[in-house]
Amino acid sequence: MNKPAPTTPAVELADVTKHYGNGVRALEKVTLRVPAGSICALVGPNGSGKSTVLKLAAGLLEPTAGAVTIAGRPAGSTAARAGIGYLPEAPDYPGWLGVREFLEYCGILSGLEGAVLRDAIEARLEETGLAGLAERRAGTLSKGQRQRLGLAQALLHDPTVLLLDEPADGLDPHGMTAFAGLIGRWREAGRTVLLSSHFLPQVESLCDRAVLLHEGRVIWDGPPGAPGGLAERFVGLVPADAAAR
Amino acid sequence: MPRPGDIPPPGALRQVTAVARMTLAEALRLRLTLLLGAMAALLVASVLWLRQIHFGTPELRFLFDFGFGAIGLGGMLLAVLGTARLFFSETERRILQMVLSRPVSRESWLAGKLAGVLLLLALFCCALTVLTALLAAWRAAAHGVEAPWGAVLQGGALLWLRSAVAAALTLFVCTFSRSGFFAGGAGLLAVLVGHLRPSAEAAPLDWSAQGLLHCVIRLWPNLRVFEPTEAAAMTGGLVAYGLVWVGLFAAAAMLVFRKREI
Repeated sequence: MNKPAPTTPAVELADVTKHYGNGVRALEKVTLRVPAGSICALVGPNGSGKSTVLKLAAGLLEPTAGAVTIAGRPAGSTAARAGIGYLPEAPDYPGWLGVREFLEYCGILSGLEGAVLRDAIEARLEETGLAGLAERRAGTLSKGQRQRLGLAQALLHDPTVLLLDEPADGLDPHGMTAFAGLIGRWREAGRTVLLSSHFLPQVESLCDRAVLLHEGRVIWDGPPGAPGGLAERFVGLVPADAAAR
Repeated sequence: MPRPGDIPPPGALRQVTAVARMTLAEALRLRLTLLLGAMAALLVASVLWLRQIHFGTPELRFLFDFGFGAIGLGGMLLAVLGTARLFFSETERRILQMVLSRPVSRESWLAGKLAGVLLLLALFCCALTVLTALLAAWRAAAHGVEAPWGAVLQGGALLWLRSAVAAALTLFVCTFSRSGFFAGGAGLLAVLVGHLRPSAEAAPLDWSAQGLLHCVIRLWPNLRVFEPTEAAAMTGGLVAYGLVWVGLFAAAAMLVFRKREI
């Protein structure tokens, strides 16, 4: 397998447009390069196109125009999907399904088996703070615990690129702290993270870079803590009552 | 640290098996399965009382017709409603997004779903056919005639084949539906059309309408050929007919699902 050049971005959207079949124009000529090993946040109001970017990168959607690549490989190809971990927004699980059982299912589909699979499950349960809940039914977990199970399945096969849609949604303050710790460890391990978030303080403290989307277009791109940057622009986009919350 | 593409993707058969196992495990816990299973078993067992009002039909014939009717009805409902439920269970919970973001092809996922449903239907038809066979054997012994094991088992297999075609047809409907409610309703209507095909063929229409009708109904399976009361035996041709329709609907489902926005 050809190794990509060191400058190849971990995730790249080149002039990507996405119009859904129902007529919704989700993205218009979006260009985005996420360097390997960086933590990048997609920020924007509801309907700005954050989830669409993540789904395109995960290979769940095809762009109407433009190209999406993961480490130089076309998004959606088997090679690209083997190296990503994806967490959808607000995942849910059947009431009968056990936590460990669900992770086994995900692991098998990722090509893990035997002792490697068992070790990976134990490691991810530990990493996401679910070790004590391994025998619980996934449907009985709280919202924050379901989110952590979603993170565990995304990490299971040790991917280099993580695509996380609202990963902090539903986490309590303790869960938020634990999530910040996870991001720190992923950064040390050289993982690339592309996440979407509404929560600006979290983005400012955890991410190297933020991309502000509005009505399917990139309107700001830079370090999230820069003065006069992300926060001011974002607050200007959301209605006053939402900003007050 | 492995890079994207360094992890060898699992074989398609392993993925299909994993999805089929998960589908069967969920299917066995559905209230719908338990309800239809209990209803069909009660109907089959109730033949012991109903045989006294058999309208002049020989008792064993009445037992077959009634038992197979119950298995056929339950199997058909389970095939259509169960398939719709199991398909949308993963899409609505976003588990499908987690699955398809892995190196799993959409075709493998659909094949696994169908395999899981066909296994469920096999268990359903098998359990109720055994019940019918035991009742038939008991009544045959009471009349001093030989137990008709072969006829009962063939009837059960035919009903499984018919429900398999219905499940594949419903899976195809699911791939372009946005809700399980729509897919279930449309699937039931599609199955009804399959049952009415022989009546449509025999309808007294003028030659142009008849010609058009004949062209259209060729696109639909004739589900009535699988009825144990009308089909004399489980022939190789009948098995091939059923499997070809299952294959055609599965292939059509994969074609549509390949482009579905998830």
